[in-house]
Amino acid sequence: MKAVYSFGITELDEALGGGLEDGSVTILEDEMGVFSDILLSYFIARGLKRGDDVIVLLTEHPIQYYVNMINILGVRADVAMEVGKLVFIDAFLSPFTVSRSIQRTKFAIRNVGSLSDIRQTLQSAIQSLGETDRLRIVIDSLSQFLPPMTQSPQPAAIFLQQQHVERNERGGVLLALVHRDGHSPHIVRSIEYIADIVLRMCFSESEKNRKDVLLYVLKTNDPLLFEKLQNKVFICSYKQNRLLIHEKDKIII
Amino acid sequence: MVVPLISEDVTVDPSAFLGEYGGYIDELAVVAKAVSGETLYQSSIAPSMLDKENFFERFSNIAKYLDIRTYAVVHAFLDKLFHRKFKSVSLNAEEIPVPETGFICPNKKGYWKYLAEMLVEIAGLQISGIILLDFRFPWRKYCFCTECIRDFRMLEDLPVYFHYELLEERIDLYERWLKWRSKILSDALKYLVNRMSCLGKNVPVIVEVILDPLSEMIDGVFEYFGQDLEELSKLVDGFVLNVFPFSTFDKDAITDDVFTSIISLNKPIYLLYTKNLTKDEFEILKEIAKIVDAKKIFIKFTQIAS
Repeated sequence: MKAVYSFGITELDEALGGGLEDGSVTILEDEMGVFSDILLSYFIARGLKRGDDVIVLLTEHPIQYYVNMINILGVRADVAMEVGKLVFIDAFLSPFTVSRSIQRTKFAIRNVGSLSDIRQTLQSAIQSLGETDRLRIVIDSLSQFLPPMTQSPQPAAIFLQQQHVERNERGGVLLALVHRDGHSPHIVRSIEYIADIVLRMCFSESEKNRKDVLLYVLKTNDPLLFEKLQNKVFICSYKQNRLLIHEKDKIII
Repeated sequence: MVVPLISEDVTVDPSAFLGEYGGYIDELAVVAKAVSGETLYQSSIAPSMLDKENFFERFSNIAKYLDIRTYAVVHAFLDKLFHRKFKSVSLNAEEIPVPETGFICPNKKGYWKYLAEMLVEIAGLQISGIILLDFRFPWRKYCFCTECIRDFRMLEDLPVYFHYELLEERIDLYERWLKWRSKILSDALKYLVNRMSCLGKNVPVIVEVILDPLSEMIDGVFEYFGQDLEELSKLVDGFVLNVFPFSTFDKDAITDDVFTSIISLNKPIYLLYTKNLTKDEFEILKEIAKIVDAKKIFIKFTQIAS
């Protein structure tokens, strides 16, 4: 049986059969205003709590943003960074923050349009961890590698394919965020094909519950699990620094 | 006084244990950080052991209510979680009596910070002291990891091909290497104690010293484990002698002379016995306790129960 990487959110983990399966590549699609970065933070914090190695590649936020969120979840990100359990790759495209952020991480990507730059930096970050049993790679977000931010979706697709092969061979999981509303549907669809698991967080379309944030499992690499999940809808809420996810129409106590 | 040591493998419910034995004990030692690297308390730094996330807190809180003092036992440089990342390396590994799987090189400064922050967390719990186990190098001829080679080579201006054989050839260099190695441990302890002192709470720290004929009793701890007891005694509130962890008990090996050096440091000395205990062995332990004036003998709870 393959190892799994949980989120630390009971109902979501149970639905996914314990979490994301070792060797898998997962896409988390979101839209403007949903708290997808909190779900990513849960995934990172859970990894650190379980003793996993975690690499976080940031293209849209400074490192401190995630450090603060991880701290809120009860994990000392600074200590995890000090012992090399948590490694940030800074690809946040601001000429002012790049120089500052290098003080916090050895790894920076200056050109997110360059596939080789991304790949090499990620490889160096993985090597810096030394021998690792369990690895979580989180990307916030892959949208910076896709049109309209870049000329072509090809580099992102190739990157995901490479990760697909590498994670299958070497283990570990990759969880990447994509802003669904920032790209044309066929581009999003093209990378959905490559991913093993596709999750989607979005606002409810019904007039009555427009503020509800819903989570769907659009694809999994386990056909039995997919059969179980394909028609399920989860409601996400964030209260008092806690992310709650439960199945729609299921009463939680 | 015999003090039960509750290790991570004990499957006992804290309230049931203290309900049954609480009336007979004044003190208790509970593992807070296990050899696996996991904690038995809710930590924001290290992963907690599955199903034992609040094990330590439950023990210490109930014990406090019953006026029982709790000591937190921490496996310092034995950590299987970080072993791959920070492992201690021997170039010329001789047979060591116990597999050293899991020893961290004490020269890893990043690990000091990790350990220090963990001790700060533990010091914030209801405890009367911290017992640092495995605060040592694993054995002789350790450590020759990249950092250790680089640091000592630069300090002594040695050639790039510096290795253990060079130390064997030059006795003066070997002595300086031993001293340099022991300074790493003293510096690490200084760092930990300083970090804990920021809390403004005085938490006594007790360091484990191995007493075993294989490592030449107490006189051998400097060469085998890098512990300079005189230097360490300036920073700790006591030593706990781990009695014969590698060898079977030999009454003849225990004479007053063995303990002269540690007694002369004028620090409280305690005893720790981690193996199966027979009545005869317990008598020998009591004899040692008399010689070193040990007020406490820590014995694994499972041994006391059996």
